[in-house]
Amino acid sequence: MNPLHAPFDPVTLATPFFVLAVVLEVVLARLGKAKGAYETRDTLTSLSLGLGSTVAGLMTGGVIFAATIWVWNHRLFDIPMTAWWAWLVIFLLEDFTYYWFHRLSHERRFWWASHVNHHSSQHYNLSTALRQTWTGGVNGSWLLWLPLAFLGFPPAMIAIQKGVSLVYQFWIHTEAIGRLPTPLEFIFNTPSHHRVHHARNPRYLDRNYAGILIVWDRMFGTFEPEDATEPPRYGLVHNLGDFNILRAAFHEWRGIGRDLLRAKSWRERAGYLFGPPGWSPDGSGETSDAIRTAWRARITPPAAAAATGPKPPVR
Amino acid sequence: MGLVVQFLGSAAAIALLVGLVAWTRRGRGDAAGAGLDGAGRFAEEFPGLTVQELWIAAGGASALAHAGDRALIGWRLGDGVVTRSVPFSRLRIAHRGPGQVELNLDEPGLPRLRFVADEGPWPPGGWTARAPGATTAAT
Repeated sequence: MNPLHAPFDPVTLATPFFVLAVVLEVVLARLGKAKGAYETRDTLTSLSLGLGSTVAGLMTGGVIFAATIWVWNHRLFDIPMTAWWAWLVIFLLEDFTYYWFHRLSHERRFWWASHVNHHSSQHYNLSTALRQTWTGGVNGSWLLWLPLAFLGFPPAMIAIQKGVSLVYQFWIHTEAIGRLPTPLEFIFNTPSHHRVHHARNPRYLDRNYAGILIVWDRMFGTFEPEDATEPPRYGLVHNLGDFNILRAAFHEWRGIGRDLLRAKSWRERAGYLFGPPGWSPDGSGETSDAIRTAWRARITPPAAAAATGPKPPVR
Repeated sequence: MGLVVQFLGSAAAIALLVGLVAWTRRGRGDAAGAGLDGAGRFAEEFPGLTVQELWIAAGGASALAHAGDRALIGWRLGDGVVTRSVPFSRLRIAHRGPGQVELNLDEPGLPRLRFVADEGPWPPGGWTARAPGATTAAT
């Protein structure tokens, strides 16, 4: 196998399946056979953002591929594409990389600005999965995958595994599937786990970053199960005011630019750029942590809060 | 050439899928017939604020509320609802035109908001809680 040329692209192969699956979900939802909600303009926005993302990816794909090849030419080991163990290892390492990429994309505004459009729908259906970034190629997040090439995984292998991850994550964007058997829910990212990820309820904010394996969230303390008593409310903390795809793709970048122009110090500039989304210099901003803390204070009875609060020192 | 064909094919697939969604929604309306329940929605979105006065548009398309020094604004967008909490004073800088009020919240995520409003005072003075359909405002 040519290490620089993937023999197939999982995403291209899966595209007909994407279309058929959306058709099936729309029809089953309409017939009342499955849970799901589609809105015409929302669907148009999602699919248009998906198409635009493909075009945008063409503009930066060459640079990313060239950088990957350059790093691979300085690799530590020679990892064969034909070895089964190599596919197992890259599956785990790529998914681990994706977890941190995705966490970074939510917890730091510079990368959130690229990822936010994926979360900008108030609906959660298979078309939402295609609401992909237009600016992911220019924010440098692809650098996170270069260590795989440095280790010695061929660029073609990395490309295939990234494609497999993207295809896997398509089917979990649905309300039509409830909970899967417990062992699957324990190991894999599922529709239930990913509904939590797309929810704007304070309890669910910035949780379940997994790509394929939910175990990373369990290991790193970002796992939150779907609570049957608290249905997810989808979208952003501050939802967009229209269906304009340019606004969806670029509004956070505009917000960053506006804040940088108003910033009074380098500390403020750094905070607006690399702080968590919602950061403000005086600490009053609506970050996910602040929203969650306020929510916990509301739902915790005063007596319980006192019992779990700071204890006086023992003398 | 291949890329152009792929692009055109994708655009056609999008048109078909969006057409299918539009077809399955015939006669169902945008928000499944539900108006914007201003009080309930604001309580859910802004649990720390107490709504003192509420102004709901005819048909429930939008709502304004007065909560302390905050103005709560909500409007329907497709099947969803968009809300914002802004200082009440922000309402005073709205542009008043014939039959409408235009409000720019200076937020990249929002277009200019347009409220169809009668010739009464703005911000609506002496607001009182009203049932949906009882007033004349809409976005």
